[in-house]
Parts: sequence; structure tokens; C-alpha cells
Amino acid sequence: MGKEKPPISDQIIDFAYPGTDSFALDNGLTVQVVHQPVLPKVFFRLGFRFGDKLVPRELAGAGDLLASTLKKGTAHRGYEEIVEGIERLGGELDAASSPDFFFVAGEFLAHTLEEGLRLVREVVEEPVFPEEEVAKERQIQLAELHNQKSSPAYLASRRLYKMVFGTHPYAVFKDESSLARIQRTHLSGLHAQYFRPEDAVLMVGGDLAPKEAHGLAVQLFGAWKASKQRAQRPTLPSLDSTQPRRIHLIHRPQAAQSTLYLGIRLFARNHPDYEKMLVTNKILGGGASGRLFMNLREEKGYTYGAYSQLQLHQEAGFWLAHADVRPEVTAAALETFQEEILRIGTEPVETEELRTAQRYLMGIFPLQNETASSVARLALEQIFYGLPEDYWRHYLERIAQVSIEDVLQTASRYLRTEHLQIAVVGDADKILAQLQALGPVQVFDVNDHPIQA
Amino acid sequence: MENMIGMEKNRRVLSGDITRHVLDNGLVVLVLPGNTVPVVAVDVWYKVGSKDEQPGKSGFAHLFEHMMFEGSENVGKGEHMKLISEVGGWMNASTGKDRTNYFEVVPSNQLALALWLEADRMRSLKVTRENFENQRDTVKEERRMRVDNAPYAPVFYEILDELAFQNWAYRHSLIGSMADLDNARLEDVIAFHQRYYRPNNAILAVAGDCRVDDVLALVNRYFAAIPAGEAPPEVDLSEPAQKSEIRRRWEDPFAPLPALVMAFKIPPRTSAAYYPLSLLERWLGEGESARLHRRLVEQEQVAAQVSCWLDPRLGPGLFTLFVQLAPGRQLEDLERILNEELERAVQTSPSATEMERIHNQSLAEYYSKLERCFQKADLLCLYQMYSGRPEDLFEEIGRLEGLGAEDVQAAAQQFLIPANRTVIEIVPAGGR
Repeated sequence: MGKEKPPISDQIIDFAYPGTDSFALDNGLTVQVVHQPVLPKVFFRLGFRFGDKLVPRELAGAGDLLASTLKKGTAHRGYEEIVEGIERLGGELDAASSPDFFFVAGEFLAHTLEEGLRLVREVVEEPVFPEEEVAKERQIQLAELHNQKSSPAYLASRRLYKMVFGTHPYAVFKDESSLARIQRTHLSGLHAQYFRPEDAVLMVGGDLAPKEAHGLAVQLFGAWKASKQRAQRPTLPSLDSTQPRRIHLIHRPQAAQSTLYLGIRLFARNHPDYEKMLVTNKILGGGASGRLFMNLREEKGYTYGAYSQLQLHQEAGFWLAHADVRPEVTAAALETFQEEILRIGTEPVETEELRTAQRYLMGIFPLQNETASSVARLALEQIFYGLPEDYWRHYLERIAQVSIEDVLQTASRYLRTEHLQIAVVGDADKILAQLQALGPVQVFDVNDHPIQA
Repeated sequence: MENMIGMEKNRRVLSGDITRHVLDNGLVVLVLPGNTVPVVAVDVWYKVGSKDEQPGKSGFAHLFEHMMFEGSENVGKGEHMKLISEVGGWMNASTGKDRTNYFEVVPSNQLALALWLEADRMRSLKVTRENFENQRDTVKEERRMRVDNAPYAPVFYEILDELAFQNWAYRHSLIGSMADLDNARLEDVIAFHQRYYRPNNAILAVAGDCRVDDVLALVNRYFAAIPAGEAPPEVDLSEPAQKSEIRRRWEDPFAPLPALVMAFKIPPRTSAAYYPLSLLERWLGEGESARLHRRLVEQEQVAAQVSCWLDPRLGPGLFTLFVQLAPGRQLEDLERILNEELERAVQTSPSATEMERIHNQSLAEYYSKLERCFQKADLLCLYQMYSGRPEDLFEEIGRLEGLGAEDVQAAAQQFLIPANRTVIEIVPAGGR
């Protein structure tokens, strides 16, 4: 008796991206509303066009410190009163910094929203960054940094960012001395410069009609003053030209595995070839059915897993592939990675491979939109990365339209092995000779300082 | 009582059409349609956990969970995961003291696939010696990684239950001892599937974007022909009353800082005491403004972090506090201040502000649980198993909001007493 075939549907899922209502206040604050009155609660996400890339190099880490001390005190109340105020309403409030943007987010019950947002407004507009709270958070970040140095993935990723982005701020990482330099006055300075209504977008989602949202936004954020003249934003250095292939090794004595991080510089998030690249990457290394996984793990047994992904920012991005392998196969694994990159750029992919990749990318889209907060997140991505206004409405179509020819062209155009940047974390005593057989190798210690090989 | 009136005013009464259907083979099917997106969750609970294991065979329920991904008549080894991930879905499984679950969340056009996969392994799990030995090695590796090599983990995986419980059913390790795992035999695996992985010992919930008729038609097609088994034996979960404090000092080879664990015995999940206890847990430990965080972490700076949780079960469970010592402080000071706070909870009832927080947080959590179809499906199974009332998904909140400050304090007085607790002092191995 033959096997039954799994009942997989090939029908394209019928899913209309819900979309948002949008308006702007007189002071320049953009407000977007995802009206989904299913449950009586409201999510909010206030995004700022301020990110780690705008922090002066010598103060690297100030974005993280700003995020962790934002709710630790305002002109009117201390930390205890603020958290008690938020939690008494059944609410949540958090902040986070990223390379391009800064976010303040949380949620409240529908009936506590107004009172909650009143507190959020105060935290966002009038924080004071108390001295002792800044000192406390600095200690926490120093401890985290210390822990990260024992993580091969962190060491490899930090080196790769530097190889890919060179002198651009995307390649700047916080360290002990930059954290030690940051004072509360730096945080209030950054806050005054960048936390302004004309540089912010407020997303609200859930049980709140656009009309009510408008009233609430005017009432709470309408008096937030726009600057008389727009804040001076530093001009970011332009990206260095792409480097030829290089291998950097971070020597980690006694490492039981070699951690391989490979990167090729790509375009920014809003590039028109994004969806083609997304499909191409899915076939090459996205998940356990990708070619990298099938070859490096299933066929050769070098590793427990080998994957790739797109890391795209506002100004540029890169294709990232990674695997942890046994030390004795370090060079062989790197060669296999390169073979797969070459193959997808020279031979057309199979029809079934393409269909599987498209089915996955289309199928996961509704799963990513199950809550008002996730819809709001995508809407903010559209605004901040400068994507077309109807971007998410046509996203599934664009995935569906990618052809075998598109994949071939995209791969051969962007994934060029002559620009491959390779960061390896491992025991130089075991793997340096192997790596040198592939080309010149520059060696670093775990503090990322060059050492003599 | 003012709180209660206020809460009713502010709570929107939610409901949903839960369809409950029992197949001839005993499989309980629960369907709850409705979602803002075309996504559906399938969740199967088998009413078997580590409590059902026999002495000498610890770790079996969990080892078996791994076997469920090794293939069945129409599904190859590892293919389950691959099929679900290729359509953009996600899946997982977990084993607890009382139950084991398996679930898939998929775009709703792939509902048939998820149901077919679950039915195929319920009907025809493929058990071979090679798969079995392979998975036993994987579990031993998992044990090394999760329990033996991780800070504080042995306390929560094993030591706490071994101290707090007398009855072997809850006393023994869920992940199993290395010796018991080594002694497990292939015949045991086959017998385990035949005894516990039968439709009459399972609950199947489907929640999200679906139509009841379509779900029942698919369930009938895939599950109806799977034969029922004999009813599994009842397990005695009764526990002798605890008379005095249990205490142990344990040296942790990986702990970066000393820590204190304090666990109080609580009655089964089905007891009315569960509701005031869940408010008590929030009162003391939920958030940065809750008493324990404020006093221990912010004011006295004697703790690096504090957390607490309820672990309610079919039988007696635990209300556990975990407090990590701040660098440079003494464990004795930490325990003294913690005891002061617990004593304060026994002596004084929550303030009006605290009750407002507790109720609003309960309400926020209740709504959050109804936000994603997977959580709804999982809770339908939970309520079906513990109370036989899946509609508790919508109604249980009503039992919380009727409670006031005096009920929370009464729970503190009844349960937060030294004679009812197990204390573990965790110290880094090799001195402080």
C-alpha cells in the first residue's frame, strides 16, 4: 500500500492587510490607528527617527542607556510613582533603541488608556535621567557586556559588522570606555535634540476608533512643542566602497567549535529588489529546508545547523550566513558556503524549490499580523523605511510574482563571493593553518584588537 | 466591594461559541471559530504526564514526546516539522507533570494538513529501536544542557519537588534520571503509546479562522477510525499534610550569585482557593511596583531580581518565590527582609491602589490570552481537562473580580506560613 500524500493546500491564502488610518497634528506628530475592536485594550508604539547611528562614536551605548533610564524619573515624579501609575492601570511601558530608530511602546486597557497615555506623555516629553539611576543602569550594561564576551555569536557578529560597514556608524559598538563616558547630561542632550513631535510617529492599535484617537492625540500630544528650527542632524559618513574578500579570525583559546559568520553588503530595506532577495535567501539558507542546511548539515554533517538571513537597515544592509562547525572542518565548511553562493547565482533553481519558498513567505504573513500590535509594527516599518504607502497591500503579490529568472539574476547580481566578508571565532592553534590555505587571515583577540598570527 | 462593582463596569463581557463534540472513540473535540486573520491553531492534549510514570521509569512521558516526531505510517522522520514550517506555520510540544501537548499554528488554508499530521501519529506512530535509541541520546543531551549545566536549573527541574512532595507521582523528576533513561526499553515505548495515546485519553482543540462544520468533517475523516483504548489507571496524587518547614542548602556549580527559593504548598487547580491565590501572587510579585520587587530590589537593594509564580496541578501544587541575592549582600539579610514582607502580607491587607492594580492586571492578562488563536486552543484544552468546562475560558475571570482585599489577605494567612513551606538556600559551589 502506498503512502497517503499530505493534504497541503496550494490555494493562495486570501488575506487583505488591514491597514491604518493616518493623520498629523499641527506640531508635526504623525498618528496612525489600527482599529480592531475585538478586545478592550489598546497597544501603542511611539517611534522616533533617532537611532544608535546618530550617537557620537565616543558615547556608543547612549541609546541603550537612554532607553533603560527614560521611565526612571520625570520633572514631576520619581520612578516608584511612575511604575505604580502604569501598573495600577494594568498597563505596560518599555523603551528600546536600535541602529536607526528608537521606540517607546506598551499597552493599556481601553478604559485606562487616557490616564495611561497621560503618564506616557510625561515620560516621553519630560524625563530627567536621575544621576543614580543612570549609574545603576551603566553597571548593568557593563555586566552584560562582560557576559557577551563569552558569546562566540556576539564576537563574530561584531567583527562582521565592522568588516561589512567599515567606518560607517553601523559598525560602532559600545565598550567599557564609551559606557564610562556617558553622563546624564549626554542623555538629556540627545533627548532634547531628537525627541520632537516632527520626528516621531505614534501608532495606536486595538479598541480605539480613529476619531477617538484623534481627540486623544490632540488633547495629550497637541501641546508638545515643535522646534522653531528643525534639529541639526549630523551628516553620516557615506559607506566605504565594498571590500574584496577577507577572512578575519577571532582567537578564542580552547574553543570546542568554530563559529562562522559570512556577510555580503546589500541594499537598504526600501530597495525594490527586496522581495526577490527575500525569496532567493529563503531558497539558499532560510530554515531547515534551505540549501545551506541541506548541504552543510544533512549531506556533509559539518554542523547542527546552517542558515542565512537579510539584515537590512535604513541606509544599507547585508546578507548574513552562519553556522557553528567542528574545528577540523572549518575551511571545508567555508568552501561549501561559497559553492552554494556561486551555485544559486549560476544555475536556475528548481520550480518546486521556488514554490516552497513562496508558500512559506506568503503563509507566514497572516501569522505575523494576528494582533493589532503586529499590524502597527508593520505600518511603522512602512513609514520609517520610506516604503510606498500601499506597500503591505501588495506585498503578497510581489512575493508571488518572483520567477526562477528573478532568483538567478538577483543572486548573481548581489551575492558575489568576491565581496564575501568572513568572520570566524575559534581556536587559532587548531584552525589558522586551514584558513590560511584559503587566503590571507587577520587575527584578533576577544576584545577585537588585532594580534600577531 | 466597591472594587468589584468598578470592575464589572469596566469589563466587557466576552463570549464565543465553543462547540464541544465527542467522537465515538472518546476523543473530545472543541472548536472556537473567530480570528481577524486567516490563521488557525490545532492543539492536542494527551492526559498523561510524569505523574503517570512508574518508579524506575522516570522521564518516560517526556522521552515519549520526542518519539512523536520520529515518523508514523504516512509521515517520515522529521517530516512533520518540515511540512508545517514550509507552509509558514509553527509547531511545538511540551510535557508537564499532568499532561503532554502537541500543537500547530498554520495559515487557515492548511488546517487539513495540521489535523492529518496529528491523526497520523495518534493512529500509527512508528516505533523502531533505532529511533528510540537515537531519541534517548537526544534526551540525555537535553538533560545535560538544560538541567546539569545551567545555573539554578536542578532546583526547579528536580530538587524542589523532591523536597516538597512525599508522593512519588509529583516528587520525581520530569526529565528523568540518567539511570532510568538508560533502563528504558523499546517495549515500554510501544506499551506507553497503546495505553495513553488513545483518542479516549485526548482532547483536540481547534481555534481561529475556521468553520465548525469543516472542522468536524475533517476531524471525522482523520480521527474517527482510530480505535479507543482501555481507560488508563487513575493515579493517587494525595499528599500527607505538611507539619513543619523543610529546608536545604544546595551548592550550585554554575550559579553566578546565591539565591533563595521559598515554595508554599497550595491545593489543586480545581480548588476554590486557586482564585485568591492567583491574586496573592500578583499582589506580591507582579511588576516593578509590587511589594517584593520594590522592597527587596529597589529599597533595600538586597536582591538582584525577584520572581514568583503559581504552579497549580491536578493534585497539590506550589506557590514559589525565587530571589537572587544582590552582589556583596548576605543571604541571611535577604531571608530576614523577605520574611518581614511576607509577615506584612499576613498582617495587613492590600491597599485600594494595590487592589486596583491586581484587578486591572488580571483583566489585562485575561484579554491577552484571548488575543492569539494558539492561546485560546491551549486554554480550551486546559479547562476541559481540569474543570470539564471549556467555557471557563470566558467565565473564569468573573471568579477573580468578585474577590476583595480581605480574600487576598486570608489567602496569605492560610498559605504563607513557615510550616507550609520548603526553603532552598542556593550557594555557588566552592564558597561565596
